[in-house]
Amino acid sequence: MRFSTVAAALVPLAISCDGGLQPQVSSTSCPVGICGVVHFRGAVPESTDYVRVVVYDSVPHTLDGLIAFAGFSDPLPLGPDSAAYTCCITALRPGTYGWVLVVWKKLGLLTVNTAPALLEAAGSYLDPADTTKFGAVVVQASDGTRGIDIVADFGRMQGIGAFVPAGARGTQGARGARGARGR
Amino acid sequence: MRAIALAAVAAAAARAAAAQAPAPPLRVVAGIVISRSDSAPVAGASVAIVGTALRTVTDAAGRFAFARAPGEMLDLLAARIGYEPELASVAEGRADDTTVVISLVPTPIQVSPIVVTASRAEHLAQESPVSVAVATGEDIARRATITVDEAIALVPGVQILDGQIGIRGSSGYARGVGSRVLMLVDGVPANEGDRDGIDWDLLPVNSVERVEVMKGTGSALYGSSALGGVVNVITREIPDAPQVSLRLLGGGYAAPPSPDWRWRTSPALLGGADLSVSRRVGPVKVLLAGGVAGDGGYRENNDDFRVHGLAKLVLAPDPQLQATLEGSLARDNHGDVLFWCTEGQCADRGLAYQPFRVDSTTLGNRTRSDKILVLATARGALSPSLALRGRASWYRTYFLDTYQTTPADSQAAMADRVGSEVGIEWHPAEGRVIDAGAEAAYSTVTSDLFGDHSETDLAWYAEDETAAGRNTRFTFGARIDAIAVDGVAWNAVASPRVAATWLWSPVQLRASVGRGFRAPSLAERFTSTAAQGIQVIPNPNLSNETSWSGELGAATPVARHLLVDAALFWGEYQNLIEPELVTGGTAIQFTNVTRARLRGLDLTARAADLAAGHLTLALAWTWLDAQDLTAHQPLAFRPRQLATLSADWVTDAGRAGSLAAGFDAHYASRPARVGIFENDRRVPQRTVDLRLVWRRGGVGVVARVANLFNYTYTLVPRTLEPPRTFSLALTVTR
Repeated sequence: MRFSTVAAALVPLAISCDGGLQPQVSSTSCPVGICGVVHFRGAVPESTDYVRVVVYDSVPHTLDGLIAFAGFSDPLPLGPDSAAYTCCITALRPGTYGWVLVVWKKLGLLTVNTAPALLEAAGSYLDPADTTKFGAVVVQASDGTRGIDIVADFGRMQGIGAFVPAGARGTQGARGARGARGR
Repeated sequence: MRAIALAAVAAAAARAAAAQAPAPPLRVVAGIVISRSDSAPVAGASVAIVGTALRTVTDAAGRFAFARAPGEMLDLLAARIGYEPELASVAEGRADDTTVVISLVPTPIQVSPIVVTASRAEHLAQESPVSVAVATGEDIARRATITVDEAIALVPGVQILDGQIGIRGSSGYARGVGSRVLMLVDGVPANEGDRDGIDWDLLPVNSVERVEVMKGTGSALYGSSALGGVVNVITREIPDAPQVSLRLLGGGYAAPPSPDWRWRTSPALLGGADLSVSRRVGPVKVLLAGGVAGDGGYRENNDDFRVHGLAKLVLAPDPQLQATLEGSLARDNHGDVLFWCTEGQCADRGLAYQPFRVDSTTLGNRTRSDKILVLATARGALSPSLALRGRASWYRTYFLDTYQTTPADSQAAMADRVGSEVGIEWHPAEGRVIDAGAEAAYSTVTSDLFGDHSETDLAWYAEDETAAGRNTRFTFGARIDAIAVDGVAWNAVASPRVAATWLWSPVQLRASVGRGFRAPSLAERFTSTAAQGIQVIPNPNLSNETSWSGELGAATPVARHLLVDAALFWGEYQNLIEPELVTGGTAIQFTNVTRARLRGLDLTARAADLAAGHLTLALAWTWLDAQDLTAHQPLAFRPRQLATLSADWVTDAGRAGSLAAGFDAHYASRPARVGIFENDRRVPQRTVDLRLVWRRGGVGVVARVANLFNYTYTLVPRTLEPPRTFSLALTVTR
């Protein structure tokens, strides 16, 4: 009887030895998905609704494919020169993603029809070995993929519709990357 | 308990054997129910003649009477919250002078209360064919809770996610839309007409007698929404003697555990006042209750102000004829918090997230919510073997969401749900009861969010409960629902159920298998809006969710003071409705996507009268395996383990009153998947609530500290659960 009383009194102390969630200085943890830092260039346009990192399986061939995101991040904070990000809001399935970019969205309701007018690419993740091409990112089930850093230049944005002309997929990707950076 | 069951079946068998002889004439059976501890009369105890449709309630002097009781030998079952149920045999008699004294044994923990939700008829919880847990008014009072959901969060296998209830993992989280649990108020359905959600603040908690939680599908009796279980909130019996009750509550929230998260200079406070008065005038009993509650909010933009009221009128000209008219209303105005602030959305102080703050652009967003429920019920026993019942109800909900930065986007919805039901309880032979009825419900919604739509539900149900031998009872039943949306596209659903109970002394076994379904709510079918730049598009062609589920359970006393109950449960679900990203991620739509399996084990142990009668303990543990069989991954928002340990130490009552100290320790494991914000760090729930209760006469004081260790955690991503919360409640009853 005495034991049960003592045991009952000790349980509350035993159960709460962990303090739970703690302040986190920056988005450094990357348990799943894609993580990195976006470095901003240029002035943020006044008509900005949000800026997010968006992930595609590959560079789309059609306008419909253009809005077929595999996933997207939370809106990025726009005050500082750079922002750490983790992607995505909904979990990415394991696999290879051919296009990871920073998308700027103009104010307005996003639908299949309005997407080309409202979305612009501010910068893409580039292949470290050949920066004229988009970099492919491999996502694993067990761990996040870190170091996917992107430069987003608000002065050199390009409507994402421009990435969907006729042409070969790889060539399109390279031309898109040059276009985005050269504008 | 075992003695009660054995005596009941033995008496039934004896009566069955004598059934060939002519039935003796009816007679008056009267008596008194007293407490075995001090011989004081027990008012408000229910007394039923076993095997018949006759039941009544004791008056202020503990008296009861049946004017037309059968003349043969019969058994009376008396029960009252706070006492062990008692069975008393009454010898055969012809004169109108049969007087019975039934003495009830007080118990600090009700090991097997009477429940009515599992099969509409009264059962001891332990002998119910499906698992039923009960949160009593005493459970609610000693925790000084403000809303009903706080009280039932302690029930084994139940988890409340930001107001959305899941029983044994039946629901994840969809901001309250499309509940897979049906709420009843005194047996009357009270889910919202548009979203099918549950409004926990509809009833003032001090007007609640008890809450019954039926686990597993209840569609065979209650139809849609009961796919994952039923919560039956039963309001207080009105005493014969005039009564006034006042409750004052005050408290506040502790500062965030980290100085980096502090967002206000003074602590946020909460408080409220409730007053109820009741009295009897002739055959009419009246209860009026009302109150206000205010909460400064532990988070930014999280303040809340609420008013609520309840009026209940009971007309009982005869113990076997009772009619009730009841109305409740609640108005709530609160700040709207969707998710906490992440880096850059507020004054983040260089941190990745500020859990007590919100996105600055959402400051000032508010929701106003009004609810009115009116219900009328009647029950009359036409003879010892037949009772009729009927009910009608109207439930109106209204909400208005306003946005500070974009006032033009304000959204509102008004929904009405009108329902009615007629039914019979027939005892054609000893040991057998047939319950059957028909039900109709009509829901409408007018909204700039959902459009203007209606839903009609017509249903017929019947259930036959039969004794087979001394220790076994079988239950067979089914319900057929015919549902139409906007008056067209009728579809019919059959929900059968088979159940059995065996007394295999000393173990009470139960088994049940049933089919369940849930029709999509009007909100899931027709929501058309935009949220954070993403469109939500309607899906009028949604199909019903369906399931086959069952359980095997056993309850047994292990020692004199210990009762153990274990249940294995298994459910196969089809066409579960989930919000999905469609049209390439630019829109969200509710779709039938998931085939799922939910299985697990519920284990509870309750011990009373330990440590010389001072200590009571209750342990509940649920293990859950919830798999999405379509995507081959765990279902979102389902923790693998839930556990609660409660303990109360009560001193002997003396001149200075009685003092009790207790705690509830909760554990919920970290869900394997939540579907959104998977990169966010998540932790298990590990909280402890502490309480101190002092009572003397009609005065009670409850001091409570919830989340004693100020543990920071979420159950829904980016939605912070309350920090350490202090409250002090004073209750005076005269």
